[in-house]
Amino acid sequence: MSGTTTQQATVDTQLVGRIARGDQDALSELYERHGRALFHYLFQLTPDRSVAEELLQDTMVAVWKSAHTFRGRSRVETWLFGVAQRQAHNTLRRRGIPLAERADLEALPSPLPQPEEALLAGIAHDELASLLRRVSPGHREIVHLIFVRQLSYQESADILDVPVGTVKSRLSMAKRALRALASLQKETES
Amino acid sequence: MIPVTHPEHGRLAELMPLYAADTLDPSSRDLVRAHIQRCPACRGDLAAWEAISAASRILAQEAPDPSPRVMEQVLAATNSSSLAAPQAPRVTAGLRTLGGRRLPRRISLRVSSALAAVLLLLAALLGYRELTSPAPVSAQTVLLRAAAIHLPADSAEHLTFRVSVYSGAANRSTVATPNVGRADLWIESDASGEVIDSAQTLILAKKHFFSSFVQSGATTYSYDPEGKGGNSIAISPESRYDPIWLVPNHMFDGAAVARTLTAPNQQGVQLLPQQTIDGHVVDVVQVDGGDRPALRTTLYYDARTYVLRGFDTSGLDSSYPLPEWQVRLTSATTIPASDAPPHAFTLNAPADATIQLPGPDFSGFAAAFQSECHTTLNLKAVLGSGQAPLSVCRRDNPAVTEMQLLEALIAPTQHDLEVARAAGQITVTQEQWALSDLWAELTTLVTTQRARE
Repeated sequence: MSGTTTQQATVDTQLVGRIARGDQDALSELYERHGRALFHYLFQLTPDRSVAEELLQDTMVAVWKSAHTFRGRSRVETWLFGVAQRQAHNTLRRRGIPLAERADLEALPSPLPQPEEALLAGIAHDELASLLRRVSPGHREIVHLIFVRQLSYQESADILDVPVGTVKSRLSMAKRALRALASLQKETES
Repeated sequence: MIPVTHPEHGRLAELMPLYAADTLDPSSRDLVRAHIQRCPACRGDLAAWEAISAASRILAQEAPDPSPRVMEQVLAATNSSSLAAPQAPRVTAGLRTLGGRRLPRRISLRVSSALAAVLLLLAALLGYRELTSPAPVSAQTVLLRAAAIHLPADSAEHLTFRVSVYSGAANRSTVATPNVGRADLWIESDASGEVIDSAQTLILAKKHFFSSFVQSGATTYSYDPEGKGGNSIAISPESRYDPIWLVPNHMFDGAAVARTLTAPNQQGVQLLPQQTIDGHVVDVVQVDGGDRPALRTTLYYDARTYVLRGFDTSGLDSSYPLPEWQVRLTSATTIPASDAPPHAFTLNAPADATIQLPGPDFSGFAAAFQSECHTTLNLKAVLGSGQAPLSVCRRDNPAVTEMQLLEALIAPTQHDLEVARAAGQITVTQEQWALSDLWAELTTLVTTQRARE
């Protein structure tokens, strides 16, 4: 961890300590530091902005209520995303909003022939972003954690509450799903 | 060349997404980088992950920001006694809270931002480059100004740098003398002013170190005898697969670096106090990570012209000492591209350097195999199964001859070599030797039945 990152992690831990003691200013400061990133993550799980905002609100309230349980075993950022993940998955499931379940994520169709890697690499990034919008929220979620949040496999596993092996396979499935969509799009165009 | 079932392959393949995400620790990153050099199939895999990485960041950037009412409602909710944090009594929130209303935290920031805006406007009206090195308000201000510098269309810029490399970055003071030398950079722009080619030659005094690195469009040519390749030339379709160097070409191009660092989500960038380097007042921007996660890079931009006057690099992880580089601009000349010397953008590798050939899992071989054999079977899987590819090929295309299959397999590499030779990066002899070696290896590959791994 770099010096700057360590410093940021220390500030985060201090803020959570202050929140546990009931300091609303600390909650606001934590929100200023991480609210935008949390919202972008939640937005991967639901395209409905108002629902994502509601989930963010629930997340911050949950942080307020559970700050005293934070023991510093992980980075605050990982803990925050874990809280957001649980809020999102529980709420969305309760409301019947489609969100691919774990079983679905691990049981996609069989792989396409291998050399399709070039297919993904050859697509314009904004086009690929459009395809990413069409994969299941669970696939978008893992891609977001690894590439946008730049978390490790272990941190992602902690957030999603799954084994590290599942993170790796889910990531692979996400690529496979994108490849399938890209292939389909190519066929449609030709 | 790397065997198809290289013992490290599986483990390293798992790290490709993290390599693309720039989150590997330095040692793993170096392992993956070295593996990629020798494993063309991994390059294809990595290219796919990099595309996904870029797409995911685009998607994240497109996401809106949450509305201000989110936190207002959170604060309202957490103000009620039933939701108060269950631990410890509420402490005084300090002067920021007044009668339950939060004073605008950003008042001072707003004032300073407004002041900065006025200053910038004044600077713009007066011509900020004529001001006497005004201290910039942020690293982004410096970088945006540096990023605005473009090469004229159809021109070639020749930059020379004084280079000092200190080995054992952890403790420079104990190192007797650095390895000193010179870096020559040539950068060429097209008719629209975009950089299309760049070439770096690095010569250091100790060990007569010489290496050369050319980026031409999407193709990278490198000759780096100090690296693991020895006396050989690597040809890669991806600019990212540079040799295991600390300083790639674009780092010497101050505007290009600044454009990278002004991208959204860039972290670890901060402005340090101004300094004077070689008689020039410079704005100092420190970058932790960037496209080299293990590095701290300190960039020195001329406070008046925003030309990059030099940079230092050092390792961020004291347990993994990296050489420290100190690079200082010594000259900069821009000329019409047509006036650039004939060998400015070529490798200039020794005539006896060999060409690094693709391994059996090169994606070009796989595609050619499927096309020639009318099959969807993966060549890598065929080789892994121990069967001779020619026999497998004849199941779906009985008429295929050994010669036809060989010609199909060799075609993609032959094309790359022809392009390299036409660009003057390799000689005719090097091209012919490489083709001859590849032909021999492929002949064995397609006809030999192997024991199942």
